[in-house]
Amino acid sequence: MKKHILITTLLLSLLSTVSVAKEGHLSSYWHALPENGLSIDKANTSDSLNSVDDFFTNMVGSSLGALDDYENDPLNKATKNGWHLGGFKTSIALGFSGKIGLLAFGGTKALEVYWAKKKKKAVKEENLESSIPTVTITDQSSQEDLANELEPVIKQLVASKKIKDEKEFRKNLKSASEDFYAYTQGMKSVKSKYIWRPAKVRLDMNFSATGSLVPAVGVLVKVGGAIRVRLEFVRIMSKNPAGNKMANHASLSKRGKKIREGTKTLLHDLSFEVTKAYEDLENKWNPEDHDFTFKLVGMAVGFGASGNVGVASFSGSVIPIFYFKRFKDGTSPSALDKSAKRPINLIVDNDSTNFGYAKSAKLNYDKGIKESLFKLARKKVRKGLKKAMKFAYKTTNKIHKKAERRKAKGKESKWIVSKIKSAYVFSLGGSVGPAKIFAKPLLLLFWVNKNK
Amino acid sequence: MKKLFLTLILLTMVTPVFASDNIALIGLDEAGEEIVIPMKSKRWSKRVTKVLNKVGGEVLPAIKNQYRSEQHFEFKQFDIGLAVKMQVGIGELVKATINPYFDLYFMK
Repeated sequence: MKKHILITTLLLSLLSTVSVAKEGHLSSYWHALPENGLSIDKANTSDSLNSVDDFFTNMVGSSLGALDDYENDPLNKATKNGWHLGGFKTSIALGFSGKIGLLAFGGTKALEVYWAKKKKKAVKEENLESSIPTVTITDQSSQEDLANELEPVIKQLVASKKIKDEKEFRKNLKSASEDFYAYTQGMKSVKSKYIWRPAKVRLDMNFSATGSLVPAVGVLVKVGGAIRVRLEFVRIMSKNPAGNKMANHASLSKRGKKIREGTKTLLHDLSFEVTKAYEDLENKWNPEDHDFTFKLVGMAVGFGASGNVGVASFSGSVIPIFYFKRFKDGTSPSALDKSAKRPINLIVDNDSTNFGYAKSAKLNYDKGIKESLFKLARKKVRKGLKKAMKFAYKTTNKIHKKAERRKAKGKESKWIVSKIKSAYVFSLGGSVGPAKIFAKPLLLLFWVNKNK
Repeated sequence: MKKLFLTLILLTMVTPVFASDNIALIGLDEAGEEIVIPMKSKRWSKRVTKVLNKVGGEVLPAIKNQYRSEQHFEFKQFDIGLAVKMQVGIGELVKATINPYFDLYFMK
């Protein structure tokens, strides 16, 4: 009997060691990138999300619990002149070692879960973003149109005394908006008709009161106290390709022309890769076997000092996000596409860790004064994109199931998950992982509830 | 056989103990260091309800009053981004201040 008790105790302690060590941590399969110093934990290379199962149960339970308690409070039931809480967002972050948690201080969000009230009229995606002064232009707009659209925003911010140095603010905004316009012209010139195509570009800028641009810690991070201005370009696709207005090349500076040409090439290649990665994923699974649909892919793009455009995250420059949408009339990428082997540029801040890794992995790079350019192999980028899509699909599925299970236990809620946004970084070698708390995300994936 | 049965029962009894109802609060402090604070998820839920009550009961009416004088426009939605300072206990005596950010969307 004694021997038996000993064996049981040993078994239990072994089990507890394994469970406790990994509980609340994402498997290293998902997050360990070669250059961040974390080796893949051989005991935990599974693509399952079981080790973070409790976290998702508690996250869904605490969010829905709080929203239902608020809703059931008699004081809050009485809506004042029809006003009611219609949406809420839960932000989730990933620590250096893969620990998952609710974002409670500064840092980058790996996942954002949007909750919306059931049976209400669908809340448009844009309405669930925070209200930032936004200037929107389309295919028909010229550089002068953009300047004219910006004028009332400038006047409003100056009049409100949020901006103290109007001259500096105008100078910086003009320079950023000229670059933005060049990016839009590049996007307008993309001729590919693949299923996933760039449909929108957005540039979020943060200004200090003195009018200078404030670099954001991460693409998704809110900067306290900064004045935010958003520029947006929406591509209106004509059914007849000849009907799409040609890009206005004449008004662009030499720098603008380089941005336009680089953007055109990069977006064509990314359109190819996003479509191919999604098709590969679809061949293995049905990504839409739950209530959610894969809606948007966002990519951070920048122009480096070397004169190249690439997927980018580096300081001292404005980084717009290009959004790829699925088009029903799109085609599959052809193996005959000559551009299929062209590498994808990755531009990142100079970092001694990066160079150490690049040397050991024999990666070629162009080192600039502040940032470096790495050439990513297309196959690796595709594999990385597929992995990110798989992670987004699996987390969306898990969150959805947790909410369903809660309902099955009799805890009916008036709230549903309306949207899930996840953020990722690229490794220098082309691999992709969810953005950790200190990272600058380069890739965003959006899943939207079909029943909202 | 009896012993194996006993082992299985013991294991089944102990396994639920591993299921944690703690939720980690995670973030970077001012020095850029990562901090993780565990909290009971029910306690976190209560804290969030408190924030929602505060905003719904006090902040929203104040915003509405401020914009009441506007004759030409009618507001259909208020998006409120709220950085809240909260004290949470880590252990018996030590307390930490966290600074979670809430996005709330009020609609008509």
